[in-house]
Amino acid sequence: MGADLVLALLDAANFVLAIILVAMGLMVVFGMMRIINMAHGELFLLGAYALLVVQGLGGSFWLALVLGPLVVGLVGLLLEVLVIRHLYGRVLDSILATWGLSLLIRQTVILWFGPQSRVVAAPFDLRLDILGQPFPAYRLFIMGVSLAVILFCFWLFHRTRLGLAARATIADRATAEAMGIDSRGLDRLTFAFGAALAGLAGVVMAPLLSVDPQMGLGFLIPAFLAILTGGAGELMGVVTGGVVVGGSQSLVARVASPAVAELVVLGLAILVIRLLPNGLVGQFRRRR
Amino acid sequence: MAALFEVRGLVAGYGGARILDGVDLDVEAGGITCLLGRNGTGKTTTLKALMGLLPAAAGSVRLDGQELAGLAAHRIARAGIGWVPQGRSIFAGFSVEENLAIGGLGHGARLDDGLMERFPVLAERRRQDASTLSGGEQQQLAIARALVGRPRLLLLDEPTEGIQPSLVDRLAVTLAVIARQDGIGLLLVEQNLDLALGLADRVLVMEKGRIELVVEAAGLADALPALEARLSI
Repeated sequence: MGADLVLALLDAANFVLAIILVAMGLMVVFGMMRIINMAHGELFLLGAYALLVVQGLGGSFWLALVLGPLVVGLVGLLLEVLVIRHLYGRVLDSILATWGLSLLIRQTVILWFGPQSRVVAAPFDLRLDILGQPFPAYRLFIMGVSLAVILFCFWLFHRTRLGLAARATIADRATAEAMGIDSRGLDRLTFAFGAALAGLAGVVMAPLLSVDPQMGLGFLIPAFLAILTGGAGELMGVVTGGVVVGGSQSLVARVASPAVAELVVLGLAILVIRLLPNGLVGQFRRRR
Repeated sequence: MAALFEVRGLVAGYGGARILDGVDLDVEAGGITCLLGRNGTGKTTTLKALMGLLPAAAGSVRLDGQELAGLAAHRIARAGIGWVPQGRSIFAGFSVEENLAIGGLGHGARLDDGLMERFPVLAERRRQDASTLSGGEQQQLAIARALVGRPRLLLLDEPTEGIQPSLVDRLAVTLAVIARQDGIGLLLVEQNLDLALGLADRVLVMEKGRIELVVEAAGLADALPALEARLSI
């Protein structure tokens, strides 16, 4: 019984951290720029295909771990300059335009790689013994990457001068500009950074999933729910939302079934959004 | 000798509406030029256009001979213009220290102790959320924040607005020190006529988007009736 509980919690923690890993880039872009990036799942996809290409050329997983975020970050930079910058302050238009971008990227991937799904290898195939049960070490690696990403984002936005400039720009764009802060430059950088995080998540998650052009969706929906539940605009919000959404989905799936779990999570999310429109963390902040 | 800051024929507006219709003004290094006028004559619009927050449709804006018209606001700020906006626009939810740091970010400047000594209230409350400061303290913060980037010119929009009368005189002293000691030029939009007359070495009166009257300090006493006539409601 003890071992079962530990494994259930470990599974839940694994799912929670995976969702946060996927949601982080989405959150950075929405929180900082008020752009709902429907193409986030496709940037995730590009990360996974970057791993596929690198491994196909004989490169290692670790090379892809560096190249994937870099390439997807550059794609993000390009998208910002060509499309996204025309969408600031137009939330609905941003949904439509980024949805169009998502179709474009997905179809391009299909043209290039075909619609079939593929398998990429994890860098190691180790199983650890946890209370007599085998647990894949690669999942622990994903949890570590997610924790590192969370800590890095907190450090970047709350402990560096660049982060201070970014937060000042979100708080009051005109005043930040008048203080000498290049808000356009920060826009480009922030979007590229969000895209690079999506790419990183794609590389890291790919060995656990089948790599196909639809793979972005499975994690994108819980990621969106996590952001809405936790409170958009706060790094703490995405972490809290990830714990609530991922934790309840994983645990309910274990005691009931995955279908019931999805229903429960959706119901929970609707309830939270109805009662606390600013999300769990957002609501707390406003009452301060 | 050319002035530190020279504006010639500045035209700007919102959409199709032309609010500024050819503004000319000068500010000397260490000088205080005060812009007066009734509500809606274009004073705040002038400052916004000078800061680059509103695009200039025509005209020239020179700081030490460098043309600034048409540049993005952050470039104008980096060229040496400090911004103390109407309502102060303090970053709420950020500490006093963070607000000051923001003022230096684009300039590669960090907060120095000399500046903090000048604003002891801010030094005392470094770690406090800036939105918890009183109106007068927030105004000091807005001015100090603009000084972190070591500007050569400060644009100030109604710094005495919403400040208790007993503090207005102290604010005037602060502004005078910034101009006379540091040699920073000040362009001040003000509703408080007494403060303007006491502080400025040049007074401009704005009407319908143009400067209609220019009075130098030496001629203030003679020009007072004309000034009051133009400003009366």
